[in-house]
Amino acid sequence: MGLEVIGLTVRVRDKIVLRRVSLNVDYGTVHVVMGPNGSGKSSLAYAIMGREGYEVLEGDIRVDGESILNLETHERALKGIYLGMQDPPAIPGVRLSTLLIASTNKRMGVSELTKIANPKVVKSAHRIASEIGLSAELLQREVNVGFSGGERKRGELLQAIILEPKIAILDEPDSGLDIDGIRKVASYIGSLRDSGRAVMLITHYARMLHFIKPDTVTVLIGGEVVARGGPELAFEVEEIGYEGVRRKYGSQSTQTVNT
Amino acid sequence: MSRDAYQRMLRELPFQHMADTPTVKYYTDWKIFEERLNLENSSIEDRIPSVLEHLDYNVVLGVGARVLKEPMGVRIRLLGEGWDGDPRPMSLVGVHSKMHAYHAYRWNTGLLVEVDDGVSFGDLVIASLGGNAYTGHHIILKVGDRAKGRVLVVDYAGPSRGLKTLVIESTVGREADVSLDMLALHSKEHAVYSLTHVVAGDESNVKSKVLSLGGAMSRVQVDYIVEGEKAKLSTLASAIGREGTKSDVILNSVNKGPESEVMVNARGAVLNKGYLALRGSAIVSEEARWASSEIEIQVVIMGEEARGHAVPVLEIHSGDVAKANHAAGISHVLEEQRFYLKSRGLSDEEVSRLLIAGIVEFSGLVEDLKLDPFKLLAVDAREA
Repeated sequence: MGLEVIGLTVRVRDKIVLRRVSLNVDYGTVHVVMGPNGSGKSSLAYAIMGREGYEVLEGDIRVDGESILNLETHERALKGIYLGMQDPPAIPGVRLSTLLIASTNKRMGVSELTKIANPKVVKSAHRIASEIGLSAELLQREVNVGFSGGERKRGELLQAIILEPKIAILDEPDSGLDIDGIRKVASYIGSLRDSGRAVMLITHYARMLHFIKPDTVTVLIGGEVVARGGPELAFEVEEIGYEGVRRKYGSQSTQTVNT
Repeated sequence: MSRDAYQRMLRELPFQHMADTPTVKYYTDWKIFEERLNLENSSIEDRIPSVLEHLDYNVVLGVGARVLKEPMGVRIRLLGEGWDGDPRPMSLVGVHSKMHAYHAYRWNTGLLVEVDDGVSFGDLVIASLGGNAYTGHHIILKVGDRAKGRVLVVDYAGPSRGLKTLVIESTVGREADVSLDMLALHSKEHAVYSLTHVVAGDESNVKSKVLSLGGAMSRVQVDYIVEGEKAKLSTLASAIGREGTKSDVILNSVNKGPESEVMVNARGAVLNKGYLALRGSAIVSEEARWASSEIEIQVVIMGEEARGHAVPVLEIHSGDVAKANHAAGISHVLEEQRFYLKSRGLSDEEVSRLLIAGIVEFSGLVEDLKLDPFKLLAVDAREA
């Protein structure tokens, strides 16, 4: 069990951004979703998270077999889904540490938002921040205000680790990182999987997949799934490009590449 | 200057020094002050609200003045109604407006606080409480050379209909290292005019945290005159325009000392039917060679029929400046920001509460004083 997306068609304003997309992300696995710009990768993440404006026309999204379509975004988060955004917004006035405390309090069922209900959270945040190369000083700064691209990515990963979601959706956690940063982030994604979490990893490139072997790779083009396979599909994408993948697999219904 | 002279100025002066341009007059609703200028002196003072009771007050200014304890190395004297000694109230600020004149004419308690050279005086906490009519307080604060410590002024105006004026004239000595903090908490029934004037000496280091939760009309102005060579000032401010309140919060700085450094950073939020102007002018004077000045003001509109202004002004008169920046923003909470916070498990209402709490906490004063931001925001309803 884990996350199931079943025949999902999504419209944003007048545009269909996803067409009959299906995929499963099981616990203890990493499912990579690849695709060129505008292929619907982030739309898929937003639709799963229930973002306003992403209207589900058909299909279903299930967590552990239960539909979450009628749940609001925050209820989906409390079901255990976490979305690390590709370009997380700045939140002036709210410190990263305050957000971490509020989010963990909510998961513990504590109604007080800003009082530390679990002191271990702050300690862990400092330790993990240091391990992923994020200055502890950043925890006291307003969320993403003045953060570099790399700091934003690490901030998203930090929250993914601290909040202990059942299902982590990470939207391009590798962009803006140097090779050492990518290696470190990949290692943490690996540990999320090893601790039994379901990880949906959205990326343009296969470069991160040199450091973390995915269990499944899905290629999305034009809002549709055009190919699905094991790690070798990612490297095939690297070799022949998305256009090549589209030509090879796209004319037929979703292709499963045998390994 | 005689009381007669102040009375004459009260009649003749405009409400503020540069009151002739409509744009300047716009931010403070002077009519609310005008309506209350003839109030009798208060006979009953407000009680310190329960959320602020835990603070260890040294002085309480209300209808009268009570000195509860003097920290080591600090001398506190009551000026008394007829104080004619030195220093004279308003000598640092000057009387340039009707409100200044009104204050000089009517203030009913006053305090002279002198901190000796070289002492570490810890915390000095002064409560300035409003009352059931007019209350005026004047504090003259002289911090000696190399002194260290924190002065906190709790400016509280409670649920009775009233007018309060508070003027603080302070000088900070050479190489002193002090925090000058202000917590302004005003009810919807009170109009408050608060003016703090700080002159920082050579190589002094002044940190200032300001938190303002305004009332019927709150004008909270702090003028930092960074006069000393290599003097440093850093200000963090939070201002909230609560429902149905009006606030004009002004943080002005003037670099006069060569190589002096100023940093002013303010955040504001305006809630339903609230009004907040968050302003500041940063002036680098001609004599302030290689000085630096940075000012940033951000205001978030968070309610219906809420109005907000973020107004920074930077004036450079020196040919040689180390750094000069100003930035301002006024925005609504974006769908993207709301979605982001909701994706962390917070409901719409909690997102709003967190954003407001974050801005209340921005100055750091809430954390320093161990205050609950939500209890502070709710003071009006609970204490009334």
